[in-house]
Amino acid sequence: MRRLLRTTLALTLVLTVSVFSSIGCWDKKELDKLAIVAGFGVDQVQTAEGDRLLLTAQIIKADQVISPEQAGGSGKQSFLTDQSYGRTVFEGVRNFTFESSRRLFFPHNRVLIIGESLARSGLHPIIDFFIRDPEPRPKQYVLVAKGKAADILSVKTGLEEIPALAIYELLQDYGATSKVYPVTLQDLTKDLASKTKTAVLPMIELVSTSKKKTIMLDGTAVFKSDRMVGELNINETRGLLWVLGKVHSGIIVFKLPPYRHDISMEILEANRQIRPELRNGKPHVTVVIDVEMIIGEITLTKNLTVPRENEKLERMASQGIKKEIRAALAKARQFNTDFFGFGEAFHSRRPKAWKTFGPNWDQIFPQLPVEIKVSTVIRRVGEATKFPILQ
Amino acid sequence: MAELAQGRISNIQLVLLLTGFLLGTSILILPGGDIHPDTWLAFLLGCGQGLILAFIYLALARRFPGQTFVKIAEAVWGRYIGKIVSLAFLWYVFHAGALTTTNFLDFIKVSILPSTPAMLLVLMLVGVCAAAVWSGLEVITRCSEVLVPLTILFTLFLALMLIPDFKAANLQPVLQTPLPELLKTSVRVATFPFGETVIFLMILPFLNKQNKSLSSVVIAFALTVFILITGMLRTLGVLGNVAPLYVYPLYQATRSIDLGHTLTRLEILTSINFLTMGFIKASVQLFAFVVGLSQFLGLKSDRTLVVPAWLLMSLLGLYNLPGVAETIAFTHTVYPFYALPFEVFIPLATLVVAWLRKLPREGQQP
Amino acid sequence: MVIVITVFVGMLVCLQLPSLLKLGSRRDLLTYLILMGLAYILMVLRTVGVHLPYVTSAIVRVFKAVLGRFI
Repeated sequence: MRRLLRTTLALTLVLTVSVFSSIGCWDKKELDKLAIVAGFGVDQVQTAEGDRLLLTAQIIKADQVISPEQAGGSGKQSFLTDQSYGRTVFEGVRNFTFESSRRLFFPHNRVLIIGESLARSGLHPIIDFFIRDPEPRPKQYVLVAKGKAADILSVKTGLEEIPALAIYELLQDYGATSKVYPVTLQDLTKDLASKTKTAVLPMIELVSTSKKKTIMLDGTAVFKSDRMVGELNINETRGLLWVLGKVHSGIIVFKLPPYRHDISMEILEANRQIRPELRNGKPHVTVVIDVEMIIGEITLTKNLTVPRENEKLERMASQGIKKEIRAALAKARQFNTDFFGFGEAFHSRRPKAWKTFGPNWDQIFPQLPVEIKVSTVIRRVGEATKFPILQ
Repeated sequence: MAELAQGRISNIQLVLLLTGFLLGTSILILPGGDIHPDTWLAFLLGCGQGLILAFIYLALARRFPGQTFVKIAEAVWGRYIGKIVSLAFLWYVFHAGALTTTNFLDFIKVSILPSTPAMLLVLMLVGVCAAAVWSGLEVITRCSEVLVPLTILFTLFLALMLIPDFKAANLQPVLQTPLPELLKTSVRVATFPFGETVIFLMILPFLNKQNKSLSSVVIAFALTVFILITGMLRTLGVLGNVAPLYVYPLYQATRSIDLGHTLTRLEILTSINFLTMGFIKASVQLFAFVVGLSQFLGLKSDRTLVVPAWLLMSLLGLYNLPGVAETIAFTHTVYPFYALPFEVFIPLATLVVAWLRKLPREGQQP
Repeated sequence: MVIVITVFVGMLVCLQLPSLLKLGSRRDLLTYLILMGLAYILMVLRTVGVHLPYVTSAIVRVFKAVLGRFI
């Protein structure tokens, strides 16, 4: 009898606990109660109450994505753009609930776009939310919009159903040209926290023609501390990528004197080394770049694959690369922003000397002598050895 | 008496139990404060200091084979002072257990379930530990036999997955930390987690063969320091200068794993590591407290106290510190000083007095 | 909530009390009841909204006052 009583009691206890633990899922998040954010934009706007942040969320409509032919047939968009205002990002995010029946859900956010005017006035006030909150992922890309982020997120573009995912794919494929520098939230956090290395972010712009609007990646925004101070164009961006060692592929086009025809070479592989040195006690940086190339396209009829012409081609390619790096370096000196991370190279590899001149890096950097050594090797000439038609 | 300790533990089991205990919270909260490129060295130094402490504990345990610290204190210090010493020790064990609970709670509250009531969380978390303690030491040991290898596996797997994000430049400059700073960090590492092995003075008596326990301790320490250094290096390599920015850098680093959009969100493995190792640590602490208190009060059965200790440890876990930031600041700043008397002074003084009084005398051995 | 806690603690006591009585040790029974009572009171106080001071915070304050310069 007593055993029966005890068994009953124990069972009741187990059942009560399990009832409380299973229905009491305080943090449950059901898919049909969430608005999954794919892209998020932040702008600064003037309203009647003063400066406000305009938040734009591109939300995936799950039911439309599931049946694409239906969605395509009915001409429905598979995403929804929603907007809200707030003094801080967090307030704005909660203010979405005024008009959206579902709570914004950030773990699947792929791109964070920041309006240019906001970027110029400083990133610190808005970036904290994305680092502090447990929902946003560290690997989402951050971009600066030329103009307003809200405009970019409202355009249906390209082949992808969701524009934010299209932007994400564009950034993923930056290697085809190596003229765009994709920056993740984590990279940006590191750059903002670094004492010497300054942040850069890719820029995106809305191009409207008479027929339709599209979005396009264009150049790089340069930051000093957390404020945007200038831009790099696409060639300068590749100059930056060369030094950062992020060039994976891409095309270099140049003219080989004395001919007036264009030659395009494809980058096969690139390696770079940054050598921080001290010459007479003064900091000096050597950037060494080794590139392997393929001849991609030759638009003149002369046979260039003989050894002497080959060397000339290699030299010209090296000069082309140097020119790109010098252009980026000139911009870096102009804005006094060390986005190459030369300061950090000194800090990690010349720590003793760094202690003496590190604190004055801002004064040293614009005058820092930078030597650029590029060596190019042509590995293959493509499928043709000579110009195919006239020979 | 001591029915919880039935089924004795072998030396290899001690290695795993001790490793689980040491990794307990340190697998989530890296000991020693902010990570910098020389932290690994501080870990090694701290592990060395911890080994010295472990020698003291082992010497004490060997002098009084089969006796827990509560009994040892009574034998060495006499009836009244002995009571005070063991009471202080029991408070430390209880409070350390509650701190583990607080760490549990903080982590789950911040990262996983922000709006679930704290009381329910702690009751459930410590409830699992209480169930393990109720079943006895052997069950805790067997749990560690399964969970510790799993944790080692997960740690290595995560380190492997982080290779694409790893930047060796983040680990430089090497050996630039001033020596006093390094020593300070190493002392922190010695008190947390290595010095906390003092709690094993309540476990060692239930060991099968005590003469081989030294090698077990050394292996467990080496294993722990290896896991800690792996975690520290991969975290610093991935996060670099922003590592000190986060509450849980180890967890944050694993959030950046993203291999082809499929192998992603692996930070759950870090959570699992912490929850399993924390379970072992809290269980050992709860066990030590229950056994110690019932010996202290001269109770007939050990099981009497398991349930009250469960509830009380959960409650103290709620009343420890108001938030995560305070918990971590406490672990890195005050805890080394707070733990010093319990981890160093009391065992060392007990050992010295026992040696002076030539205890235990012949015939007194149980 | 107080009812839930009362039921919870009451059930725990009901489960363990028979074995304690069978054990026949007055000391065990007394300790058990005192500690369970303490836990029950603390739990009820917390759900009612009476928050006790943070224990470890107090320890931190004491240590900072004594060792201020070293910490």
